[in-house]
Amino acid sequence: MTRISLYKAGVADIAVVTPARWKDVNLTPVDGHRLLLIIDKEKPRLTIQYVLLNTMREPFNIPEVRQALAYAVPYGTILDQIFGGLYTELHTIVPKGMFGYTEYGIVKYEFNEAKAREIIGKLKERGFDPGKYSITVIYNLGNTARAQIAALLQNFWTRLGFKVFVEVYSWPEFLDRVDHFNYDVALIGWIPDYLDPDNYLMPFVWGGAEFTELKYYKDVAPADVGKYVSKVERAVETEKFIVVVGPKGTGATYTGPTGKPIIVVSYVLDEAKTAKNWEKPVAFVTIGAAGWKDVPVSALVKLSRMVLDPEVRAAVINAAVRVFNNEAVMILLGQAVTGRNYGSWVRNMYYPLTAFARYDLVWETPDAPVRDTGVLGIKNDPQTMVIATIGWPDTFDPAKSYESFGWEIFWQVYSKPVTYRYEEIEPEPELAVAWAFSEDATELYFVIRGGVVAYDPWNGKTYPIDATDVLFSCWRVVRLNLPGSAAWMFSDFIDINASTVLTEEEFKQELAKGLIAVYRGKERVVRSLDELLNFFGYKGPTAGVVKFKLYFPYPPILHIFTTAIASVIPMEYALGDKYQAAIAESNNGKNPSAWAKYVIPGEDDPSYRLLKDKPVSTGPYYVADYKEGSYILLKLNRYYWNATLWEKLYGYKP
Amino acid sequence: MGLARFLARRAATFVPTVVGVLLITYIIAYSVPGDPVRAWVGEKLLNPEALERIREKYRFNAPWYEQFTFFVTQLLKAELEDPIRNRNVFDEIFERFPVTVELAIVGFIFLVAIGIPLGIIAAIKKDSIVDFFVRVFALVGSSLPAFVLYYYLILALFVYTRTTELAGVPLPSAQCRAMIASIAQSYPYVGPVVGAVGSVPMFGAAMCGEFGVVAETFRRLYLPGLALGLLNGGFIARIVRNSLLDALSSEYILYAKARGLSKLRVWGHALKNALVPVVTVLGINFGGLLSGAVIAERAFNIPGMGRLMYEAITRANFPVIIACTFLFAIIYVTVNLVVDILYAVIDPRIRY
Repeated sequence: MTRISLYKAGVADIAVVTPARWKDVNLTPVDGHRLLLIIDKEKPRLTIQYVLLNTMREPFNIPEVRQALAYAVPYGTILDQIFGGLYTELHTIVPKGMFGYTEYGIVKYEFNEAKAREIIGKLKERGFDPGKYSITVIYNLGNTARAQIAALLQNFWTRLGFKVFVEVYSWPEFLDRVDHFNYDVALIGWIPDYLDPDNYLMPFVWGGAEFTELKYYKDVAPADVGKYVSKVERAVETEKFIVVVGPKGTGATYTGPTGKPIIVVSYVLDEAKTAKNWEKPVAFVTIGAAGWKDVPVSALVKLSRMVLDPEVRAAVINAAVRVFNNEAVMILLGQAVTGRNYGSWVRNMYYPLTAFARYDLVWETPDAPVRDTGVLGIKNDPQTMVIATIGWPDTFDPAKSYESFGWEIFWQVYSKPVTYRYEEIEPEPELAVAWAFSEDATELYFVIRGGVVAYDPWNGKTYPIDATDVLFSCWRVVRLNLPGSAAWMFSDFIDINASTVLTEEEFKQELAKGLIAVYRGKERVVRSLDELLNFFGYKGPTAGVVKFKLYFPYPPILHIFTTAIASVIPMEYALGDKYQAAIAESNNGKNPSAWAKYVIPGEDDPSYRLLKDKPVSTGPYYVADYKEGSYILLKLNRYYWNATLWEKLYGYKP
Repeated sequence: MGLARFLARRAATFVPTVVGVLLITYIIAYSVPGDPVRAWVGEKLLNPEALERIREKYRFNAPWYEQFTFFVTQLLKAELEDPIRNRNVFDEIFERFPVTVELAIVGFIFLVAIGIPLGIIAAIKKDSIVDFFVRVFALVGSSLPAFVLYYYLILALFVYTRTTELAGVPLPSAQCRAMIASIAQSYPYVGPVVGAVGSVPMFGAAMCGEFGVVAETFRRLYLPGLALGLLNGGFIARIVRNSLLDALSSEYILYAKARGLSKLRVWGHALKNALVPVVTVLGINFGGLLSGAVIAERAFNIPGMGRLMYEAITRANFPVIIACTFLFAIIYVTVNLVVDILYAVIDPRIRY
């Protein structure tokens, strides 16, 4: 109510408005302007809404039942009426706009009751009795859209002969039920953390299977498949390849589709680890949320995380996605589209896929409405942007934060090694001016920008930023391992204690062996620092190099360094008077494990206690003031390393 | 029984009352299905190791009575921490409570200003059209969903006429806050009182002579105050009306009239006697307002106790729920005590 009122009164320039309220807001006149609601269906977002079917329970373990249920969903009503046009149809778990998206071989489950009845009819001939099953659809309290969807599912699925009930649970209980597969059908949504299909495959498609060995063989002749696998468990035709999966061994006879190059994926199952994952399955953690224990598809998912060849990676992902779709493991309701919602006086507002608009790049026309905000006597004039939003960040420490509001603040307040320009999806330099990989892609080198300082508004101090701060910031996230944090985004892929800071001389020695630089779709082997910096078009000063040691080559690793957990904080601010000792003991960041003495895991760590309430800034803004549950005041950071940008854009010097 | 003995007796009931309230609240919260720790850490991928650490810290692996004892002990040692924000629960409360006090005061002013005059008028104009409207007003106030009234008030008085603000809470200047903090620390007895009173922004501003801030506070809070007054004022009016009519039909009023006292003096006598039940109801209402007006605080974007409690409940935040309940219980027993003492002030026949 308040958000909408602030927005309609012209006090807020941008507001979070739920679809149900859009019609109340759209085109509201404000001082000769209007509040705009523009749905851009050509620009898909990565948020998806879906129906989880608990495949560990009957009858959802039967693919035909799932398919029938998928056909008995009134998608049109849900998309147009319930989601107000903000979602568009979705058929694959990896949505449009993401690497690995495919429509090849994908079944488009559309509302078709006759087809659903036909499938159930065939099952009945085999003795299946839908009347035997009571299906309970659950959703979380307060979510009116899901309440409506649940009612629709109840209506249409009852017509197939099932007994369908709807139950609503408080958020904690709902989460608990989903985590522990204590449900039949659950309604949820998903937002990926970073730009990679792995963010959908592991949480949903992966069946909890672990492997001691995963290998692929490209361009295998059909007759040679038996050289690599003992049995063909899955043979999936994708747009460019046929992907064949089976256990490592020999003797398999291939009788599947031909006519395209074959990629053979062989695996050795780690039975002990797999059994452990399945023993007490936890959704999203030890198994995908649908509880679908498909070992060969799990092998594809796990392999897709470490394949560098983009063609093979796409094929492996496509294959997993196709099987998941064909067997209707989950019912996908819709994929969000871009909904632009701001006053017509706001210009250059943009919507990155997994990040946020940076508000210093958005501006207002000179005739924008001027209003008292009620906050600290501040007027919302054309030089002030007011955003009316929902909730409150749990913390101001990026090492703990794992929610949108917090990450939006960090996007304004901190610089990361890499970032995205506007709505582009390729990582661009931010604090790392250049990067390169070792030949096997298990080492990632960031050359750090020189001349950067962090601003501490609470004490009016600045701290120089160099490679040690970058490594420390990432290392600290893993070390703290705070509950509910996104530390896994580093700890799953990076051996943080084996990562290190290099001087430029040391880096030159590594470069001499030849490193691979990848930027804006181009790849080059570089052998000197100048060559690397030229490749990225950088000419300024540098401040050391960080080498991140990866457990395995992980193609989207750069995307992780765009996220809030990669926010660079000054080590000196975090450690205070222990800073010098920590630097010395780690030999200037060569041995980060020495920092363990100064940072303790959990919420009692002093640096967490400091940063959760008093964030500093390496980004375009700093947190000047806040009152919990009321407002956060961000001001332009005049120490921002790219502050001259504002002069170029607006002729403004902070 | 003297007042001192009465106070001592009441004080003795404080502890069991507060503990009882805490226990009942805890058991209700504990009985709600679901894993609170899971709700604390958010909805994304879990980290089982860190989750176990937090479970251990908050005694979720121990029997319920051990956990309850842990919460209460930590609370009394002022060491209980909000597991979501990792802040001492009292820090959160001390930040929110002053705002709620302001809203309670403004709301109470409207409640009294609307309820008592309407009640008196209804009693004077008994069975007239005015009386009818007061009764209808009371009925509507009691039965109207609060959010509907709030919505229309916001639309009329904020969106269209901008007579108030819906963001922020006016605060005294930084110098003023520093001065009050300094007094609070420097003077052993008066200091803490000054600090506590001055922590309420409008009082703090008034102490420093920043009356502009006081005016801004009223501008910010008059709308929720008015809304609360409108919702509950009708009920107060009914109590005043009925109580006053009872008093007016008493023998002492007949005697006063027979003695030829002026109408005004007769009404004055009646009103004073009629106030005892009114004070009780007003006391309970004030206690309720001090415990945070959950819907009003959400609707009018006021970061007070009501919202803190609401947010705590939605995330099964046991420590904050316990701490807020502790404060609310103390408020209620204190307000009831003050009301009991006020009885004697209003009605000299009442002695302890």
